[in-house]
Amino acid sequence: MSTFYDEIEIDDMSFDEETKTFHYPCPCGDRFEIYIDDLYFAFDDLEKADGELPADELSNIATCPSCSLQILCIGELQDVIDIYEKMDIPLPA
Amino acid sequence: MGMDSLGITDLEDRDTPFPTLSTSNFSSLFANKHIPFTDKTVNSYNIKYLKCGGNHTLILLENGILIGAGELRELRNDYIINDGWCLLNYKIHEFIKTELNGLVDILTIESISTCWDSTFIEIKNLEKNIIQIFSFGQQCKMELGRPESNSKFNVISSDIDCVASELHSCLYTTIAVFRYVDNSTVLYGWGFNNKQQLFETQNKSDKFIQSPKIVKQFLNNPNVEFRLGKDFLIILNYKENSLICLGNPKLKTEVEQKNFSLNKISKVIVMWSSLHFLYENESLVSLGNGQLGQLSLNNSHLGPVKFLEAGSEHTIYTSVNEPFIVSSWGWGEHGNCGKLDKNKSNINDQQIFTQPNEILNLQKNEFNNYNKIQNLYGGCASTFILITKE
Repeated sequence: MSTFYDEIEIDDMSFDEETKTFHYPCPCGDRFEIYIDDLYFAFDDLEKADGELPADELSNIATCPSCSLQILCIGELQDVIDIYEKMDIPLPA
Repeated sequence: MGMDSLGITDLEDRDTPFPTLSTSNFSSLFANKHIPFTDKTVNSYNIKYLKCGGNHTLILLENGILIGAGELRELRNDYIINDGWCLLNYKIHEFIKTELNGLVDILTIESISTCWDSTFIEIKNLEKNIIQIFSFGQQCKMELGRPESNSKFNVISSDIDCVASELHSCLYTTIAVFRYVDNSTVLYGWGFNNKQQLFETQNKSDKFIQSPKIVKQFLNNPNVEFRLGKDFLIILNYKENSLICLGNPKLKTEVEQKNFSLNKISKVIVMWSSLHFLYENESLVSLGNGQLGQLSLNNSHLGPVKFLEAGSEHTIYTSVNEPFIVSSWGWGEHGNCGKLDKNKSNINDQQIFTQPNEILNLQKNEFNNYNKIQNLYGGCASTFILITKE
């Protein structure tokens, strides 16, 4: 889909420590997902752009492996950094 | 989508109806079996409720028999009805027998609901009119209403003289409605409260309601109904002719602006992110998220409606004038609205149905002389059609 099904705060998503992936239910029965490093770089890009990027340059997007729907993940870079620290793993280079 | 939630064991999407379960042999299959939580005075194998979670489906029959398909977690047992469906009563009894308020013979499964990855069962004590709600499965937003590690499955029990009750779940949130003999109605809620659909939040921890809490109480008012979407709660207070939306602020504003009068509304159904109001004059008003075609029939005249039900983001419909046809509109990527229109060049346009699309026509396609559409049910990108013999 060209537009986002929803905008979800990363606080409201679940984080799977094993796969290091944020996920959220999709109305198709599967889950939207985004890998933590991808979200880190996406929020980093957004922060460098003072929080504003054209829609086609956004990458804080979780996709569903079973359908075409996507959600936009809302949050701050620091929220993601907090997860790395909580899990005691280094930030991506 | 989890295809085994359709009760079909292969993993292919279906865009034409496919037989998944028949209750025609149930009376002989279950004859002379002492199945816990069935009401021996009810000799009916008709479907009372069909509810869908993210990857599982439950069917409760009028006599209290509960069957399920898909990811049933701890409820799956070895009592197989067919490749996709199994009986759940025995397993539920095994788990909760120590928590029951009464002898099993006077207890029946009254109602069910399904969150994303969990299941709720209402057990009714037929002598004392007490309801006990139990939860099973997994949680990530406190939706079980109890600690997951808890060895007890009970979430809440009603007081005595509870004459009716209801359970509604959507995604990570559940509400239970207890109606008492003194005409009071008590609404409990638990689970995810991310958009304040249950309670106003003061801080982040209020997003998670760990155990049932009273959301609203209505004294001397049995005429109040509730609908639950993924981030909103609709309260239909017929006595006071008021309609309140809690939660999703955009939807809440839309509802307030419409200033609905319940006197003229005959039915309200909800999808995950939108809802329909069917008026007595057979016109439809739709609100909420419409980007997937959910609101395409807003302000249109449907004509006399026989069935109107909702899945996660699609609507299923049968008219009085053509009671042999099931149509659907909204988001149909997985075949839940029928065959995609391949004449449309854009794949996204193919998946969005802005007009009712015929899923089943029993005049063209009969299933072994089953010629009557008895009911419709919607799930996550899935549609269930109950057909019977006239």
